[in-house]
Amino acid sequence: MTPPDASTALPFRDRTSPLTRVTSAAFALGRFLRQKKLGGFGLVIVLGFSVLALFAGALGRYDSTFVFDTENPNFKADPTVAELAEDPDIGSPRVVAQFQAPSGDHWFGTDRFGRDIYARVIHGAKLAMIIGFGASLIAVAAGLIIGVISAYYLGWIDLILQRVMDAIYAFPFLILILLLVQISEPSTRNVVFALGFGGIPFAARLIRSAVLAERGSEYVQAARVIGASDFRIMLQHVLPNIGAVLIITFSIGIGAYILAEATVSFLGAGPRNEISWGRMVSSGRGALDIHPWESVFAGGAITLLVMAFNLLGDALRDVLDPRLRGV
Amino acid sequence: MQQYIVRRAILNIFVLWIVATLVFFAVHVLPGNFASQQFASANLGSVSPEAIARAEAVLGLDRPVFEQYGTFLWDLVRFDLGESFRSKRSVWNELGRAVPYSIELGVLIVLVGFTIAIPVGIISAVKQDQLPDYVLRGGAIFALAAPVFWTASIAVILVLQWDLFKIDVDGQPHLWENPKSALQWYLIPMFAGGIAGTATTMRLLRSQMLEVLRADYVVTARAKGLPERTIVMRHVLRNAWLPVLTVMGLTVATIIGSQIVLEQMFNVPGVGRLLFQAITLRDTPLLEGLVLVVAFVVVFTNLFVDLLYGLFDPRVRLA
Amino acid sequence: MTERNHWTQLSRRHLTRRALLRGSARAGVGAAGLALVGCGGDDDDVQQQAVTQVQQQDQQQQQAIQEQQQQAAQQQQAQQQQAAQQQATQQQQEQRAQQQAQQIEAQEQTQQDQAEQQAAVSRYDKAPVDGGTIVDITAVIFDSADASQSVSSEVLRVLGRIQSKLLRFSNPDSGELAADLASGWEVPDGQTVVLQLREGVSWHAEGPGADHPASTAGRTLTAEDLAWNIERQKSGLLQDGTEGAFGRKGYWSNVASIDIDAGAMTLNLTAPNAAFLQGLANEFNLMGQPELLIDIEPDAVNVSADKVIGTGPYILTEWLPGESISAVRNPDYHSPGPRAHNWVWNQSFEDPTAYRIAFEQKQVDSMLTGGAELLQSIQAENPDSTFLTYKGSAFPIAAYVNPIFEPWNDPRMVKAIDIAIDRRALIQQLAQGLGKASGPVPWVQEAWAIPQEELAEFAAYSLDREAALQEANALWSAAGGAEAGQIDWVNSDAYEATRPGSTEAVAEMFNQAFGTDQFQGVTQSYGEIFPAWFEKTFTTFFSWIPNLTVPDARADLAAAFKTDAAGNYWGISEPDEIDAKLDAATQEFDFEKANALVREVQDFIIENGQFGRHIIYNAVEPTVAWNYLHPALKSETEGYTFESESLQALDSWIDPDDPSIEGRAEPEPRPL
Repeated sequence: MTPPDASTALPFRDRTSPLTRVTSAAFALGRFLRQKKLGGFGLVIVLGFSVLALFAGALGRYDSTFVFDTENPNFKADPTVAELAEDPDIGSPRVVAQFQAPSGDHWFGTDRFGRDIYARVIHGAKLAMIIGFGASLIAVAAGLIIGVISAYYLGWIDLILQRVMDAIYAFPFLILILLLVQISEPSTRNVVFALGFGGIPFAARLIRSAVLAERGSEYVQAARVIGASDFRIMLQHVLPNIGAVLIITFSIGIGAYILAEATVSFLGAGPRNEISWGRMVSSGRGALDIHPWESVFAGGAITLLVMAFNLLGDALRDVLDPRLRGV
Repeated sequence: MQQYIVRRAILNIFVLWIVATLVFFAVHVLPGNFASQQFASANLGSVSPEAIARAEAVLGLDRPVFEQYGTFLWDLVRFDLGESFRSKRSVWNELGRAVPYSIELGVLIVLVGFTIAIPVGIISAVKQDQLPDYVLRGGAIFALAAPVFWTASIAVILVLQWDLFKIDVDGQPHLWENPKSALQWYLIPMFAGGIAGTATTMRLLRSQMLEVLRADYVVTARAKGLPERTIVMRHVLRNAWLPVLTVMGLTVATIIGSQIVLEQMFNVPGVGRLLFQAITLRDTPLLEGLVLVVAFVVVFTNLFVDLLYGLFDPRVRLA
Repeated sequence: MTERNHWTQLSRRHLTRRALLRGSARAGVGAAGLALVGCGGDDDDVQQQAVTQVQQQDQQQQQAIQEQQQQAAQQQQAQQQQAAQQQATQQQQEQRAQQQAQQIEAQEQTQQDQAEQQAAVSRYDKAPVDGGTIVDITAVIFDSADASQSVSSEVLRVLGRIQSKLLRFSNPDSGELAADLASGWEVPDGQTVVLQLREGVSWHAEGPGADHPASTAGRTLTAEDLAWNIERQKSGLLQDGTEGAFGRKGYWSNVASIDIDAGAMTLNLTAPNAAFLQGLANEFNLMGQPELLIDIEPDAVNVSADKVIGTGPYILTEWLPGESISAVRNPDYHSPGPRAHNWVWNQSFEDPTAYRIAFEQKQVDSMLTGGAELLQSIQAENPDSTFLTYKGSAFPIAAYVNPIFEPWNDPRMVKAIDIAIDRRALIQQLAQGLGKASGPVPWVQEAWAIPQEELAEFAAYSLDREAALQEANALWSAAGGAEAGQIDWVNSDAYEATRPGSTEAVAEMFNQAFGTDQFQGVTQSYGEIFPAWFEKTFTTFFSWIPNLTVPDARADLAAAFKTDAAGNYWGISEPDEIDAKLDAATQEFDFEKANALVREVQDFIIENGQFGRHIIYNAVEPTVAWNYLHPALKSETEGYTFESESLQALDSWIDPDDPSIEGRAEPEPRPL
């Protein structure tokens, strides 16, 4: 999460009509799969995880919270400490099926609580998707408002808004998230808002540059001459023209937000009552050599999804606006 | 130029005031404080309200919030960051101990990062859309996606399993005290962090170079029949370098505050770990002080990088 | 070398080791209730009788044996103040342990196994070596430099090595007492405790605490010093007249007055109290120097080495929370005995990865977190150089509901929750099977707890989960549980950090028990939990509860269930069924009768769904340590359940000749 200072590097773009630009964007997307193989690969994985997240209940094979157990033939009602040391399960009539290796019954094995890791990885996709899309959406939405206001009015409004952005940006990112999450309770919604908030300066900076470029354009000046209101100009003329920048800003951030949520969860401050891949990695890592499955599969899922979003974001950027590549 | 620097410096101080205010009120609305965290290990039912109230009074946490804010700002103006609730040492003192570790690890991470990123970025750009590009870029994208805590955990297990080398998490040696031991200690975090950090730089360098490779003067150079090697080294790299410099500056600045996970896992007593402990223990003065110092470094590095930019690229005028 | 080979073999012979352990454990079984013994009496007859009887009993009569054992152990402790006899007693005890073990599992024993046992004893008996620095682990924050005002066992880990108590446990689990600042003790009647004070004990003459302007370095300890400590805690007041945070105020309030005369101190109690004597050895009852304690009162919460002066075997040289803590030997300590020279506390291993690296590379000497499987596997990977110990945990795990609020004001809901808690599943999920279900008196207070088989007769502890769940669901629907709306189940963030996912798992356990999705796990910091707790506005809670400090259960029960008890957060008021019986039990010096009363109270509590204070289990905690470390232990594979800081201070040592010490870098404590 160290976005470069984009304000100095923003390009001029050709100013065709909004309609042409939208169709050309759609056309570009069509070409996208053929030309950008890596991006297409990313798209397929993202779609795959989306399907998993949407139909987790059906695809997860088991209830993600169900605790598997079996009859214990060695059960003893009142074991001594020493007997427990020899056979920790001895005191229980039924044994929780914990830390099992992958098998036909449990494709990814089971975790400490005797739950199916495959089901939990599948259900964990929900949180990752919500975090990724949610946080990025908030960052882009807030960044849009701030960026447009800042770039359109300039002057002291711009000055103050940009300094506030600098202040948020100067915060160590993870500490900002941890602070925001702990102020409120660590629910999914609050984590999404915290991550989105942390991403505002990045989004606002990109969008502000894009709006600045549009602002000086002839059609905006023409609209001003015929007396259109500021709001109308922004909505009708500026907004459609920065569509590509919005899509790019939205898509390239997603992976980073998912990774940030995993890190926060790994540190023990992530959303509760939700299956988080980061927490799964954390809960299994101390004894990774003995029962690696939970950490390995959850870590693998994070890597795969983040990679897919990054590939997709890169490819989208290349296609929609090649000159934004440096971002 | 001078006027520009002064203006930016003043604005930066304004930014720091916003940061100070944000962090102050954020930690004051956090549920709980150091007084109650102090008793967390003691368990419920054995702690009395009197004990917590007394601890709050000793720490000055029972004063009205705005009074505390006033004192905080006044101390700040005098460069007094207060003292840590936990260690009772001044925050400056804590920083003096933590910063060298963070810089050591940060520099190592950056070194590893750039040693990998620069050649990879160049090769990837020159061989655009050929096999080396796909492999290297794929590797970079994978490195950027894999969580550092995951790769580092796996690396630790491998080292322990095969008894590869000693990781002195207890001795916490400095590089200048015991270079071998310190390097072994930093080895996993510097590679885990470096490789993850590489990806951004590498992708940036690649795209910048691609841009320049299409520029007119490169086309001209090619037309003149200059060897490809000379073109890349003399024309392309020199011109693609600038944005990368920006990123490098920012990386170095933020790295101090962002190595929380690695510092935590390897018991590196740097700024990141201190920040994390300060937030979990609600060590308010320490947290506020650390955040401010990190913010200071970030905003002034920004300024410095912008100035460098102007120095190197005559097209950029600072006003 | 021999013992390492021995242990390698032993771990493959489960039955043998089990037999051995069972024997030694039984020999030390809780003498808790019988703490009324004359001073210095010679009761060989009783002891012999006990031994003879043990040999005659069969397994069905183990209960009876245990009680005899308790009496025997009780008699022993009287002798233990005489140093010469102490050694002999210990040997007798071990012999008996062996005899029993052989008898109980005679069929399983072979000649070879017996030889192994001899080898085991030899490791245990290995003569301590003087010198060395032990690296212990502690947390990064502490609540007070004044032990009287501390409630944190982390503080004990440090101060327990520095300061002394009136008495100490020679075995904290059985409650056997030994001399400390008091060289002898007598209970002439149930209401009076006479303590002879050890002569020639002086406060530390060197170190940061001795250099503090307010302290008096090297001064002789007086009876007045001790009386001041007691009176101060009893009044609960600080010098400025405000209420202090004295965790043992309730205990010391049992003292009506103190008489001091020539080398002796007499505590006159307010009422006969059979549980009182044991409390003198509670590890929290450390004695501090009055003049220094008065001076540091205003900021005792800011701990540092100069705020601590003691009479114990070590002098604190550094106490920087989060950074370094170290102590060096007190050259003037009254019993010089061979032991480690220094202690260093490592505080930086909150992170499991860092902790594991540190242990495997011998930067700390023992490792106690990370889960049983991990610790066992580390031991298995280093079978010749590490050993495992197991101990009952003094921290009960519990779930609370507050019957003052909806929906818990319906007793049926409270009982439904009590039954719905799947104790054995939680033991496996949270402690990997290492633990036992606990009733109102946790199983670690062995002499007083309801035996596991009898506990299983209650629905909440039943082995037949299906039947139990039916009962729980019947109560739940009768009380209209389904209409209660969303129920937030609070877990402390500290507990969630050590057991990631426990918050969710507990809420899910209730959801599955009642076939609902009303339960939601919520994690809170202690900053949120404490205020709700003090104001009794909490509704639910799952976590550790206060640790048990002495093996006698009576005081703990009274502190939670009596109508006017400070720890009664549930508004329980049962004057006849609980208060009167607990009072009677506390005043009862006959263990049988006292135990019967406590049992009646426990039965009543469980019948009422534990009134919202649902005790779940106490874990058995494994620790893996390098062979060169010889911590003070109950037996080779069993650690102490109750705090044993004073024993660790006196009896821990480092074996410089053990092969496992290779590659260990000796840490350096801050010198005097």
